[in-house]
Amino acid sequence: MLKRKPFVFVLGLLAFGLFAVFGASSVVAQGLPSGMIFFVATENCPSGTSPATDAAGRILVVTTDTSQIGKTYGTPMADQKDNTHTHAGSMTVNLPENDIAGASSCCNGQATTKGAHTATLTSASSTTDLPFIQLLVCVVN
Amino acid sequence: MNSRSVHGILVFLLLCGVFTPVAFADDPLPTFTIAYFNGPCPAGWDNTSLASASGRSLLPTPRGGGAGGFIGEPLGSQQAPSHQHAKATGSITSPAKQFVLIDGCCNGSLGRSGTYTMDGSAQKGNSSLPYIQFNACVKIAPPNQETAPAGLLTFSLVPCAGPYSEYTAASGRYVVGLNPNGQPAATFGGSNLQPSEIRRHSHGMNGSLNFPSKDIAGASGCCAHNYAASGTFNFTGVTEVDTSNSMYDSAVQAPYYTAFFCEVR
Repeated sequence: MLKRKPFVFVLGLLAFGLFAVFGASSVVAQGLPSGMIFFVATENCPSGTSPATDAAGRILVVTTDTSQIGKTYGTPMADQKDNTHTHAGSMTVNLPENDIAGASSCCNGQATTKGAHTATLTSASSTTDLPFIQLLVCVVN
Repeated sequence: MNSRSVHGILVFLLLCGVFTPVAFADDPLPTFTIAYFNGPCPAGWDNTSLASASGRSLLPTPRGGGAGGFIGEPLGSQQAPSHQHAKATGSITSPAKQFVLIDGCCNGSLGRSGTYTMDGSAQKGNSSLPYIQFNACVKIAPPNQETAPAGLLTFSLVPCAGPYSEYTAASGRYVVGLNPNGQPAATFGGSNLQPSEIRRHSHGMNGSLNFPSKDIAGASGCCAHNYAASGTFNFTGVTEVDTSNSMYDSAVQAPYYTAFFCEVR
């Protein structure tokens, strides 16, 4: 028994060394690289991964600037509901001229002038009409 | 092999493990897999070939489409997605007024009553499209012999193969992060995008217009006809697509980069 101890010790060191090289520390559960983000069509992320909660209700946009990773824009969408938006706008009508044999003066103001008349307004709200699918976003621990 | 040699190898392996923790890519994902990352690309992955995807969302390839295509003006970091509707049309009816005067020369200041078309526009505005930014990397190293978890979904520059199959439910749809208690894989919004499609939308442009009074020295009544009435009247309108100045008119700024969307079986 005592003669086998050095052999076991050497095997242990060898196994640890092999793990250190081939089982690199960036690879975690399921053998996926740490920090990798993927999707699942279920309510829970696989073991060794966690939901990316900040991604809920948001689409994902690529940034190649790693200092900008995780930054967000806008208010998240609710479950199965696209956000809406409006615009400021204007609408114009151009009334043609209608001559009259009468002076422009007091006191009948029931008519209006010819030419362009413009109204400013806020448009009706609308969704983006973009198509979406909602999937759980998971990040490898 | 003597004991000194074994110790030398062990020391080498230990040093490798301590000082070079990422010796090479060691994951089961196939070459040309694309994935988002919440940090730099790991060993065996690279993002330099994805420069065209920066500022864009990875879009599961529309049916009949390919990978690597991109549409839309890319977003800067945390830039508000915007768009405008350069054209709107509508209609308004101006009631008629009459005066105890004569039609004709020579006061030409009044407008003629009737129903008229209107023209307008909706200014550039926020699209309210929420997003989060992540790095994206493409796998350049070969996979190891392990298998990825069943159900994992990610992108690929090449068609899904082997243990991967295309997740067609997402074809042509933006992927949105699932809300807590949300229904996984539910689709909503518009219809699936077609290859190279720029999705557009419209807004109602209804409102009211106040026509100012224009005084006339004459009583209301017969027989000068059809003068446009002063007062406030409602109109109806809607935006229309006008690509004369921008090919993205009436389209929310939602730039995308297409890639096959693959699921581990």
